[in-house]
This record gives sequence, structure tokens and C-alpha cells, in this order.
Amino acid sequence: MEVGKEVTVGCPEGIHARPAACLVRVANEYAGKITIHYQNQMIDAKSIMSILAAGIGHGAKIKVVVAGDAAEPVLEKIGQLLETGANL
Amino acid sequence: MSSVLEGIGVSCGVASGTVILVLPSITIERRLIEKNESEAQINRFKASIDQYVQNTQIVIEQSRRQVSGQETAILEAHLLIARDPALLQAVVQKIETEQKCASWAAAEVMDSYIAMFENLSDEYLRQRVADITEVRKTVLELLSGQQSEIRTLTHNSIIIADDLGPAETLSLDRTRIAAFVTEKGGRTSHTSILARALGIPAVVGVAGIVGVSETGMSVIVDADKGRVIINPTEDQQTQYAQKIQIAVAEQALLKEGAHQPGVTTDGKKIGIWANIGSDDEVKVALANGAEGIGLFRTEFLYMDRTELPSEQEQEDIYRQVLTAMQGKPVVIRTLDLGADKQLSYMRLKAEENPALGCRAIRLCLKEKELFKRQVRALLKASVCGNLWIMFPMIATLEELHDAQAIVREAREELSLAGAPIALDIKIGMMVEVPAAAINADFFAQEVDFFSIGSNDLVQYVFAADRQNQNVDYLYQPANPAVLRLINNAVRAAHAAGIPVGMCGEMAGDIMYADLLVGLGLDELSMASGSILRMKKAVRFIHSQTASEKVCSIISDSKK
Repeated sequence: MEVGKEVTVGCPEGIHARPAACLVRVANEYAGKITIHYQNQMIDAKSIMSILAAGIGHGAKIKVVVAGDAAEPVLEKIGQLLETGANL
Repeated sequence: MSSVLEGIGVSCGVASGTVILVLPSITIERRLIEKNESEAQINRFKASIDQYVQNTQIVIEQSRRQVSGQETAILEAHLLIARDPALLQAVVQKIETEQKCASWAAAEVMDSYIAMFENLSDEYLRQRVADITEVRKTVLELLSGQQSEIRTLTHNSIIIADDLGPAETLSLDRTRIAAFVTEKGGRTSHTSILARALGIPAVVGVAGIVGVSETGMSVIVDADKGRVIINPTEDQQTQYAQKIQIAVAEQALLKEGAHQPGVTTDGKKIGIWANIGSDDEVKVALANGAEGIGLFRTEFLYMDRTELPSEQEQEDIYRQVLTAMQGKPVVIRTLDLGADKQLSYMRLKAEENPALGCRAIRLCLKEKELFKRQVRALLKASVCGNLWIMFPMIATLEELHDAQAIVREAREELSLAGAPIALDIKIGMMVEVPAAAINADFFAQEVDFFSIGSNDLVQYVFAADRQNQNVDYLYQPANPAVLRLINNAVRAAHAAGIPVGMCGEMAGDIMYADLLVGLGLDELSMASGSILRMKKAVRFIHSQTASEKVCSIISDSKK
């Protein structure tokens, strides 16, 4: 199963530093594939270096796509993490 | 077979233990492989990553119990990098399509990440370079089988290395090191200073030691004689076992006098203070009877990490040290960094001549924000004790005035913000650049204290690099050229009514005790390991006689 969602990045400094590390940690807990579509790039959410290099700033519009079993709750969690910038 | 090597003994004592050989950076294998070998190379790479992850997790577990969360956070960041699927994919691709062996492929991929991050304008990302570099180093070590074993110290480990940098020495578990031996280095190199701070033996400048040593060999280090014995015979072992017992007994005896002051036979009190490089050394200093901190080297706060310490973080550490010293003077030296003491996250330009380059106060006056942040932290912490702020490497009055102006600015800003600041903070300077020693009378009018930095003073007076053992013979602190400059600074200070101390290695060497007392220094600051001996030495000195001796040395040389 594959699910996707548009998200506006709410972390004050973008997906960066601690939020990036947090995102990778959450992504690593999931066996399936998590991809972030940003501008024309497709970024593997399990790759800290790809995420950092993408430089996704505050307010950026991205799409998160989760593919695998029980994808919905993972998408929900990651979406919330990036939108609110909370619980980091 | 036993072999005896000679070097320079830079601290006192004898130790016996097991060699931990710390290898210099490894050579990377660069080999083109056959097509059918690529799978094996990919597996080697995967195995090295697994091994790295496993080792790092063990270290994280251990350090959770011992150190701050900050350090474990760095290790966790390293784990994320090592496990990065993009990294694996890129390495696999390189092995398959370019037919490079695992080490070569891994090095190139990591180098490309480093280059990419280095070129980004973002400060945070540039700081990640240090993390990737660290992962790169360890993974390549694992791939080559030449792993540095520095993390696996056991009791009575004797560290043998070509040379050790401040960051490397900082990462060692100090409680388990029995001695240091280095092939390079001199009396005032970082290893020497650390060894004296810890009160353990060290021999440096031992030519050929790395070549004959191997991890696990047994070794005796005799710092009193500057001798290292690899694979000692039974006779040598017995002989040294006795020596070690005597040294332990002597230390216990000295300790009885630890909390008595250092007073000469004719009643002159000499302050015996401690040099420290981190907050956790305060305890050792106090246990040895330090009556103050004469030098807190703050640059160690900035090293071995991935970003600048925040103002709050600095303030907390200064507060801890000031509080622990309970109103005794604490001289905190502002940042003394330069091209020879690099920070991975603040890439200072390489210089031809770092000792004569843009370092210490020179750098701070260029990087005013960095400097001001430290000054603000110091001022805010000042309410916790008796703070003396000291500027290093002052050469001209203008530099001093600029530094003082920044302190004034910081003070005004903080006062406006309502932060309490102690009223009686002393502001002083190091006298280590010959220009300052010569013009000491000008400077004495404008500061609250002097502290003579003998290491740099001697190095600059003799124009001899203190890290270069080929010119080690020019480390002559008792030469009249140096004594005259010290004498000049002491007289200028006393004429202006300010105290003058010394915080270089000379100050802790009992060989010079009578000269230093004779010169009229009010306070001597040294590695904690030297305090007991120095107090005892001072108690045997007659200050009047010592002063006459100094006068005769200085005027003799006039003829």
C-alpha cells in the first residue's frame, strides 16, 4: 500500500539539525519506504545526508509518501512531526 | 627482547603497564578489482559498517553512564551517518561500476559528502563535516584492519603514539592511563602538560618508539630519567617495582603537607595555585592543596565537539569552577586558539607560522562576537566567586584597550538587561610576548594583575619552536635573557601595586623554585601534580638569599 500527503514544513528552521535526525530515527523504525518529494527531488527519508543536503526550509511545501504495510499511521506521525515541529 | 629507549622526561615518576599503540592516520588502499570480486568488496564494506555500528552502540551504552548527553548525541549522529542508505548505495555503485576496492570507494564517497557539506553556506551543515570525517576515519580503519585501539583502554594503559593532539588526549579515559610516551613533542607539548596535570609520568621525543612498540607489550616508563623500557626483563621489572612503591609512599608523605601554605624560611608566603584545562580538574587541584586557580585554559571547552559552546553552556561551567573554589581566586584565560589549536567546526586558515600568527587575543579581536560571547558568560558567572579575567598574548596597549572595551560593552549590555555582575572582577593579562615584558611598566598601569606565561615567553625570546625537539636545548627558562624579562615584569607590577604570578611550565618545576621566589613572584600556578613538591620546595627557600642569587645572575651576565 502507498499513501501520500502534502505537508507544509512547520519546524522553525526547516528540516534541519534535530528535526532531520528525528525524522530519520522515526523513518528507520519503519520497514517500508518513505520518500519526500520536494521541488523536483525524491529524497529517501532514511538518509540523513540526503535530507540535510536537500535544505528544506521553514514553510516549504513537500509531499510525504509512505509505501509498505500499515502506512497510514506512519504517514500521520511524520506529517505531524514536520508540520508542527513539535516533540522533537 | 627488551629494548631501552631514551627521550625527554617531562613529568615525574615511574609507571609500568601495557602498551596501547595509537597509530597515526592510516593509508587507504587504492586498488582496482576484478569484476567477480565486487560482491566480496561490497560485503567487506557492509561488514565494516556493521562493526562500526556495533562498536559505537557499545560506546554509547558505556558513556550514558559516564558523560553528558551532549557526547552521546554526537555519537548517535555518527550512527545515522554510518547507516545512511544513500551512503551504502553510492559505495556499492562505485565498487560495481568503477571497480574500486571497498576502502577506495568508501573514501571517495565520504570525501564527496565532505566536499558537498563544506561548500554549503549553512553553518550547521558545515559543522556536520566533522561528524562525517570521524565516521570516515573509523570505517576506513576497520576496512584496513589498522584500527586505533585508543577506545579500549584497560587499567595501567601506557599510551604510545607518534604525537597526540589536544582533542585526542581529551578523548582518552584519563583514569586508566598510567603514562604517556610520544615519538615527537617537547617539554611544553600538549601531552606533557596533560601528563603533569594528571600527575602521571610522560616521556616525549623518544625516537623510534612507535616502530618497536605493539599494543599489548609490557613496558616501563621512567620519566625521572627520560627512559622507556619495552619488554623489560624480570630483573628490570623487580627493580622498577621497588621504585614505584617508593614513589607511592613519597606521594603519601607529601600529601600530609598539602593544606599548609607555601611559606619560605624567612616568612614570605608564595601562593601555590593550579592550572586546569576543564572543570573536572578542580577536585584534583583542591585535593592537592591549590590555593587558587592560576590558569583555566578555556579553549578545551571549545574542542572535541561539533559546534561552538553556547553562552549558557560556558556560563554554567565557569559558575561550577568559581563555586567549587569557594571564593579563592580563579584566573580564567580567554580563548587561546590559533592555527595550531584548530577547531573542526571553525576552520581557521592554515598559517605558515601559527605560533607567530593570528591566535589568542589577536583572533578574538577579529572574531569579536565569539570573544564577546565568552566575556558575557564570564561576567554572568562572576557572582559565584572570585573571578580574574586574563587576556592571552597581549603585545600592545592598543590590543589591551580593545579587549577591555569589549568587556566594558558586555558589562553595560548585561547591566541594562538586569543581569547581576560582581563588582570586584580583576582584569589582567599574560606577559608572554617579549614586547609586553619589555614594556611591562606601561601595561602595569592599566591592568589588575600580570601572569607570566613562561612557555611562550621562552619560545619567543629564543625564537625556538617549543614543539620541535631538534631545538629542545633552547628551552632555557633560567637563562638570564628570560630572567631579566621576568624581573622587569615583576618590578613593574610591584611598582604599580598589582600582583604578578607565573603560569607556565617553569612555575611548577622545583628546579627553578628558588629563582622564582628570588624574582619576587607572588604566586606560582602549575599542574596539580606538581603542587605538593613545589610547596615542599618553597618551605626550604630563604627568599632574601634567593633574591640575592637572582641579582647576581642577572648582573653577572652584564659583564
